[in-house]
Amino acid sequence: MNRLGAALRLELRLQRRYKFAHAAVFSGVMWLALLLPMPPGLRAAAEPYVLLGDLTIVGFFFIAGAVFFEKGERTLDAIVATPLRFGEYLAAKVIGLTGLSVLLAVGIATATSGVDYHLPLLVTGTVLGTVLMLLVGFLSALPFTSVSDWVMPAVLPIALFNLPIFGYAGLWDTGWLYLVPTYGPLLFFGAAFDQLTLQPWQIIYGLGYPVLAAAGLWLPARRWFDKYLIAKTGNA
Amino acid sequence: MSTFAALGRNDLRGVRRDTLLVGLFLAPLVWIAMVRFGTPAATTLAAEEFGFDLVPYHPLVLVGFLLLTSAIVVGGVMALLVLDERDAGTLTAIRVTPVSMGSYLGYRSATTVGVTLLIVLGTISASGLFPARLIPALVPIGLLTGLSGLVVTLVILAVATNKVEGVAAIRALGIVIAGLPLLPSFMDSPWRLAFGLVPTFWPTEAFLAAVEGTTWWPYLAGGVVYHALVIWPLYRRFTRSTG
Repeated sequence: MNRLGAALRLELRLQRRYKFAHAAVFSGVMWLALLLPMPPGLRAAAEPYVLLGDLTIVGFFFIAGAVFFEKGERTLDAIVATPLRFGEYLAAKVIGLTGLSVLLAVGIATATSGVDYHLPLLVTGTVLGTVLMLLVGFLSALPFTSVSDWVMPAVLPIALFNLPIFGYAGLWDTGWLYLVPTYGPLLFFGAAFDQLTLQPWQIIYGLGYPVLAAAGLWLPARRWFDKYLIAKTGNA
Repeated sequence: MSTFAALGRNDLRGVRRDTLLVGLFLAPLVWIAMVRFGTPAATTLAAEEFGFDLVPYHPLVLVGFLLLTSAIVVGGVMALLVLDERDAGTLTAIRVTPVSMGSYLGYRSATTVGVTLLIVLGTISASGLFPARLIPALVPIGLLTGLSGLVVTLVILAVATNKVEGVAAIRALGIVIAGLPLLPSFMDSPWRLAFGLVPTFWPTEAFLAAVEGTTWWPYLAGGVVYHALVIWPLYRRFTRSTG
């Protein structure tokens, strides 16, 4: 736990240094500028899309950015030589950036809806959605040597994980979309703003499936990290 | 002109190996498909489920999905290309060739504007939602959108010191460039002109006025003037920072 604590402190320091917090606040203010002028009914309808389509994505870009920073700055070479384990390294990143996303989501929801939303549902959806997008972002960045090589292909996982939006909106009525693990968090966002009432199976699916999917993403994260970064360290 | 040809050949050689440029060619196809097939479906759904008529908002769909995205994507990709070249030392190498920094930047600016124009023309005319008789008006509006793309490029180059920061800047600018100009359409007060501070406000308003059949050239003229005022100091800043 001590090592994880140290890694978390480092992560928060890096977040400040990379100006992630500034960028997060900026994007939050911009969303408010877009959402606040809307009529309240439309705003409540738009909010779940904003939360899934943007807030969880913030983490996706940040974690990928952090991977490229660390490749470039050679900090990984140093970290690999410490007793810090991979699980702790990734957990510190995921916890730090998920915390940032939750703050942002709660801030935006409170500024737009006051106390007229369900906080536990919003936080649950944000945590699950962000953790998924963080792991996908981390994985997506590993095989690429440069940010500019990564930025276009990165659109594919983002598009895939946003597909549930079409099912949620009723534009594409197919059960296949439930295979995309971000559907659960999106249902939670909808329920947080009273757009829908969750059925018991939706709660079980929305909590269980993202957790399983995140665990499934964690395993290749370790393998790819070793393959693309550790094996290359020292002669990159 | 031979300078442009040489730089152009080099870029095209890069297309084969550079996912960034490949993406620039593929992305518009995805947008066309989304708008062409998604809009009628969404219109039917809105009418049946909510009794809401989406048809009057079709021009806004074109603006949001096609016009504004062109400016941010082309502007962002060009900025990343320049940052790539700065990191790789290409800009330093250019300085010892007969190519002046001015003509290098001129080339980059011309391609930004030209590619944006092509994407605007191609995507909007292929969307199935745009009357063909208005396509001539789309040329000046597309060029103005290209100038917005150039502002995006120069702003990113002004704030980002490396490519990771460049991606972060694109992310942050995205909402400003592609989101805010959609708001004035819902506002009915003189305050809407305050959005004129966002470059893409001008091509957006010109486009919407052209579709409605009202006078759109003042937005075009105002836009050209405003873009010139914004681009000049940014351009000077960039030449000083690399000089």
